[in-house]
Amino acid sequence: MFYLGMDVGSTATKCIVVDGSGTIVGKGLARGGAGTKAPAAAEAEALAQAQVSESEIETICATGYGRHLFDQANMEKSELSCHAKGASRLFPGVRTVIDIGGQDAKVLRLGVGGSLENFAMNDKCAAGTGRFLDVMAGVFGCDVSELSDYDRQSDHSVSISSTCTVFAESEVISKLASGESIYDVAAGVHDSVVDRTAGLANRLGIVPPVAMTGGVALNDALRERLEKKIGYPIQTSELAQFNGAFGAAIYALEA
Amino acid sequence: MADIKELLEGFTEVADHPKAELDRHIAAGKKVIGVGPYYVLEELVYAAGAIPFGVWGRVGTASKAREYFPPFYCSICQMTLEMGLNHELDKLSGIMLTALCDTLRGASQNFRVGVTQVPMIFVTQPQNRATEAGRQYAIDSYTELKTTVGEACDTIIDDDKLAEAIKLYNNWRAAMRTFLAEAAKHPALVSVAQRAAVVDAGYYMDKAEHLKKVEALNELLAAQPASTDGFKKVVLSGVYYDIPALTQILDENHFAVVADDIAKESRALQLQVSEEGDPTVALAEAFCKAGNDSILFDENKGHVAHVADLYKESGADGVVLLLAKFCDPEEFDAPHVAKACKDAGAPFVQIEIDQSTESYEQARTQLETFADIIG
Repeated sequence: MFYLGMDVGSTATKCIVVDGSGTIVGKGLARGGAGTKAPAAAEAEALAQAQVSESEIETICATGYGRHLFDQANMEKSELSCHAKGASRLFPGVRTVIDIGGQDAKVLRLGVGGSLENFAMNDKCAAGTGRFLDVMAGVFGCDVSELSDYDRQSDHSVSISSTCTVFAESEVISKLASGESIYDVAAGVHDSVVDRTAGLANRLGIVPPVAMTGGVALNDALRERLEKKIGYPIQTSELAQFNGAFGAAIYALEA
Repeated sequence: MADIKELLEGFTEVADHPKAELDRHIAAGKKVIGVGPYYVLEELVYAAGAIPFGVWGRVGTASKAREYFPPFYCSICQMTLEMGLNHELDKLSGIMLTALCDTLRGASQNFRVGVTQVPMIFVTQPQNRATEAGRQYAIDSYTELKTTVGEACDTIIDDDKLAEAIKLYNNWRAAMRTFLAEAAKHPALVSVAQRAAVVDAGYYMDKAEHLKKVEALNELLAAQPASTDGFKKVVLSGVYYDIPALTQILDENHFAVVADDIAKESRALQLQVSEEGDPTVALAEAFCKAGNDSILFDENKGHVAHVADLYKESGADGVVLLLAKFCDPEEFDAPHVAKACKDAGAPFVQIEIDQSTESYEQARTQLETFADIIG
């Protein structure tokens, strides 16, 4: 039998199918969250990749902000618990997990055995989240996946002092208008996210080894800036964005 | 005799419909004086034959109040002014507001300017309460307030009536403390939402009437076997939590409040006023003795250790700090409270709340996860 984890996030839906040993056999990702067609699309993609039919799924666990709206789920778990569960498998021995999602940032402390010991989340504000980077990429006229390359072409980071996403957007526009290079401003945007994330991590207390998950973890330049800021190397994985769904799938397996 | 369910439904009805309770007082020919947060000497109002009526804002969106306050301002103050500007408080014969924090001070002055139809009675209290000068300041202020409140109620407050009011309030606060203890022992009978409703109803009802019902409830609860089985026992800290979306999440996740450091509950209910001697002096001295509160100056920050002590003494599984957004005294104490809880080995979560927030999904995630951790 197989087990399915569905992470219905704010900007993307991720789905993971695992077999009875907890090995990932299929994954799917679709843009859009609760109330959209994304959950169905992500599920279809994951099942197709796993070459598994719906009837072969023993248990479905939903997580993420839209977890309550995913009717097919047999169980629900908060995304914090799922991220902890997934990270303990993706990064054995990890003690601190930094996750920057579409609309929130969270830092998790795992115990020696991988259990969730404590956590901290950002306040209700888009600053320091994936949404912040989406907005800034919009100003730069590029895709958010290109921000890392922009940063790498920077000579120096231009300080973005506004803590609010809306005000920061105005500040970025004015910096560009004053002649600052787009690459240096991109580096400044990254530093702004790094400062907020490091503050959140320090609030909880950082215990190494450290891993980073969520879509933003794939932004190499930002992750390297964060490593420098917190003083620890940060592990990540190509499955970083699927970590919550993976944790949910493991919960389904263990149920 | 009403049963537990009936009594709780009655309290919930009042808590959910404060305007109906206000109308009832007015229809009975009573004058009603609004009382803001907190340590307001309601006894003066009661002694004047009027009804003290709690005004701690309400859940909603501030609109007109934005003309007076920046967005980053305590939502209790914003919503209290909003209610005044929307003429929801017009039936009050006055409103007593303190200045125990900088935000309340600005709010009281804006209320006076913006809501001219409701006289604002400024309650001046000392922050340096441990000194003789602080004590005398409180006595002088309270003496003046005795006259001001009497004038607002078209009467002269005499000491015998004030002594009677003090006795009633002492009994009421004692009964409320007993209720909080009984509710802690019976989470299956008193949900978090119902606990908040009993407290809120006390801010709206005639205290004598509320006391009678609370005593009846206490007696019924005490007769039931205590059990917290199946619940996650927590200490709640913060200013307030009577937000339906929030209490619903706490109840859905089977949290039991086994002790609290909530301003609207145990902090406000800690006062015990001497029933001997000059009643005005007794009121002033009781305020000067209050402690363990972020809003009260305390060079030893007793509030911080108090939260950790509550965790240890109550046998709680963890501490939930409901941090009122833009509340300076609470924000300043929060890191120290977090550290004290950590030092005490208490699982701890801090959740930001305010009366203007409509969605508590992030809080839901945090509380569900916290339940997983301590469960």
